[in-house]
Amino acid sequence: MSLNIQRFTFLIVAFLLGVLYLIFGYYHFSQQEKTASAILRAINSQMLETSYHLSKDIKSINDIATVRAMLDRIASNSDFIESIFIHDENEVLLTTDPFRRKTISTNLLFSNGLSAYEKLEKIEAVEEEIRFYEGKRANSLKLTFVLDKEEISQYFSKRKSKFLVYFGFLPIFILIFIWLLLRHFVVKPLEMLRQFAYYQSEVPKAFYLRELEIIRYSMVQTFQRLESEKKELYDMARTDLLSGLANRNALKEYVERLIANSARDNKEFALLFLDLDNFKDINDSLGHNVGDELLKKISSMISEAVRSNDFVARVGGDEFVIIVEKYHSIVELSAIVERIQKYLAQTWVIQTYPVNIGSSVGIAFYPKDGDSLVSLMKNSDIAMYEAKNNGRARYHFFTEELNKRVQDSIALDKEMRKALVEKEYQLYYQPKVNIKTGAIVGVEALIRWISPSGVITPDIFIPLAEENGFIVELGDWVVKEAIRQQRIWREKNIDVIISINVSAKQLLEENFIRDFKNMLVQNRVEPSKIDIEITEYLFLQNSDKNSQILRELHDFGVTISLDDFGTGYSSLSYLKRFPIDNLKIDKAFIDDCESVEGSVFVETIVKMGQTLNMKVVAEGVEIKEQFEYLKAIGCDQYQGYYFAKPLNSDDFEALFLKQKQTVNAI
Amino acid sequence: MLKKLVLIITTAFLFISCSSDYDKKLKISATTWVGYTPLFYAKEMGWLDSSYIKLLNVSSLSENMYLYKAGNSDAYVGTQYEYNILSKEDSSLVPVMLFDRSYGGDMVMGNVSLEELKKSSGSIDAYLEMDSINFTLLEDFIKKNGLENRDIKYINQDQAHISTLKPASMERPTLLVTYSPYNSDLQKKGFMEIASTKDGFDLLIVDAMFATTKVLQTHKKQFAELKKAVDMAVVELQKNPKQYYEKIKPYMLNMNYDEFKESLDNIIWINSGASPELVERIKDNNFPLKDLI
Repeated sequence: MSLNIQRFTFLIVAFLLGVLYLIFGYYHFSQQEKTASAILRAINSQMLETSYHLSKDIKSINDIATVRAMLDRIASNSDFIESIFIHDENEVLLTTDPFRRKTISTNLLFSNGLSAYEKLEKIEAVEEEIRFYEGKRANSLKLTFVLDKEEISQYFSKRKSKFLVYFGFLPIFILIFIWLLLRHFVVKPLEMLRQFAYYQSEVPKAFYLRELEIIRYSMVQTFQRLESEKKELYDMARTDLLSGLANRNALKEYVERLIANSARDNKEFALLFLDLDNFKDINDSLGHNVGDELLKKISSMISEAVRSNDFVARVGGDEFVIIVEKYHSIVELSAIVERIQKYLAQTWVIQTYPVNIGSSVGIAFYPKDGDSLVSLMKNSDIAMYEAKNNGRARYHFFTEELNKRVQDSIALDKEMRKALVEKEYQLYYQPKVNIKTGAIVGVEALIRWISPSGVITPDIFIPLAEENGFIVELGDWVVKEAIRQQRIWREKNIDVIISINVSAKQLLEENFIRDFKNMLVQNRVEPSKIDIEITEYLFLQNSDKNSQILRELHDFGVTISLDDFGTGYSSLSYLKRFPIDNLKIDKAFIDDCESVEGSVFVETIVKMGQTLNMKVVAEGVEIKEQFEYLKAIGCDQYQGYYFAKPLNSDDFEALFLKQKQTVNAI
Repeated sequence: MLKKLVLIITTAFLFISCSSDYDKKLKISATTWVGYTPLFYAKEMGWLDSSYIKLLNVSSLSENMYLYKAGNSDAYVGTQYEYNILSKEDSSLVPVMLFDRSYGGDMVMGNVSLEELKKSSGSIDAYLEMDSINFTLLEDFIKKNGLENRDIKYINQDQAHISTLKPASMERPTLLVTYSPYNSDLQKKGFMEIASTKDGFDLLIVDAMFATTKVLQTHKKQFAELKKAVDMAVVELQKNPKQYYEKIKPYMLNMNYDEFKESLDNIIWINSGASPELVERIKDNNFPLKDLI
């Protein structure tokens, strides 16, 4: 059985308290007896002294009153004498107590078997004889000192109280105080040290007692050293000693954790397997020390090339793995890979030797190309060899389809940008016709890419332009070109409103409104002659800012059309919040208008739009039945092959003039 | 931890220092004088018990003074004469409570009438308490009656002793300076009152209680309760003197009710306040009133 320090301290304190109480108790009763004895002796002496004086002073019983003053004085001067009286056998002759009428016969002063304190407690009065002479005749009277029992009792009880306070309670307080001090300065620190030794969760603050502080300090130092060594070992186990990058162990831990997180969040990431091209030749020709130094520099360069949240590990002689988590598109990922390859494809000077080295990268995706580190490594390795087979210094995706798509996208991206420089883009205009009058009221500007190899339709390059941000540049060209065309037509008295498709990215550009307004002013084009077409996707992001921009355009005089209505995230709240002038029914609804269900949708959209004071434009009208139907339900405008396909500006001008004449003739 | 230690120390301190309202008994010494009977009345009514006040009773004013001086009482009663003697030794001594003004209560008695005394030749015996107002009273009496040239033998005795004197045993003209209630017994024995503070003495005798300012501060609450008890006693006396007399009768020696009633005419109560003129006279007698309760 073992005691804890706190209990042990408590027992010691309790033992000390017990011993002290025994000593104090003995001392108290001994002092009480001594005091009682002294009081009794003093009273007795006073009584004998008084008796002697009285025996000399009293000459006659009749003169006894003359000694009253002396008795008064003695009684008043003594705390423990209540009164004094002189009496004979029958009556009280003289008293200091006006109420004293009777004698008291008690006198236990010299009784045996009682302690002095007990005598004081029990005696009411003490008595002495006064012998005096009247001439030759001896007389005798009794002198009685009545004890002030209350005063005596209070005196001893006050002594007891004081003793109890100073020797009874005060030691308890002092011992509690000592116990608390011990607990605070010894027990608690020891318990903290125990917890620190066991859990090492919290480092105790400095202790007041030197020995304990030395122990604490030693423990802290030891644990810090152990922790440091542990970390060093941990790092060594997870760090590639040559490059300082993570090693295969660290990669394994990282990817396993990442796979768990990605599986939960349904996300993907890319594993890039990078291998230096012809590194063996460098080792063989220049020596391993040059090769190692090159590897160090390359490792450092890879770390610089990637973003801070990407993970780089060296997994073999000249093999590196890079984990890229956050990318928006394959194109962006490709840009990262190209950047790494570009960084590495420099002339390295190693120990005065100029060294040129390339790198091949294989790319695999989680979970598409593998759901474990092993499968991802294997597949990215395959992809890397494919890159090497294709001529080195390249990158290759694990799936051929993806690889092709990426390569095509990259090629298209380059071509698309080049086409803008070489002015291969043109705007075509599809008329918007008033259903009731048959008059052309506007046109929708549609971009066409006339490349040397043929026409490339917008559905091929617009999504890529949206993805890589080229849409802003391209959109600006479209706006500029459309406004320029509007100016030319105005000069030719061709009064039509040009609708321009504006993407969300373009609309949110910082200077879009300023530039747009400037272009209108420079070309002296009325804002009301321009219609901005937006899609419902615009509403999904930055809706407050979008709303503000659209409202500013609308207030400027430009009309706003909502394109492809019904195909996206259609919500009536958007129609309320945004300043929409025209609703454009998507071609899909028009194609289905012959069915009962389809017609219900079209009619509903038309009625709703008109109720909300919007003009409704039907898109993709290709046949007469569709036109007749739309006319029947009161749709405002339409566009589509039924009337005219998108035309270049010259063809549109001819059509417009012809149509104008026809309408005027009617 | 610090909080615990502070709590323990505070508790211990409070525990040690805590005590009843009346940690110390207040001991007051008084003499048997009709003007001090409210103290005896309060004692007999038990009004002093709860205030932890002990009343000591001695026979003479000077003895009373010495009892105080010996440290056996905390406060004492007396006249401005007893006050002036001790205030010279302890400047912190102050009157804390007024009782009465003597208006015939202090007197000169004799075994012969004043005329016989004046006609007589030879020496005169004078019994009095020398260290008390008795001496001032006698001096005033001698001066007023042109007895300065007479051979007067001053015999210093306390009132208890003086009250035992008998005219028959005196061979010479004798003067006794005394006060109520001691005068009653003397009168019965044949002594006659030949002058009193009522008879045009130009002498102010004020009875009060004295204590040092330190004692006053220490026992402030007890003094306040004592003052209240004294005031109540005086009210009771004025309301029902007979019942009052019955309570204090044992202290009044052999004085009967009629004599007690008569003695009341020889004092004027000033416990509840004195007239502005009297206050001025009291102040002129080097008798500070600022510490009165």
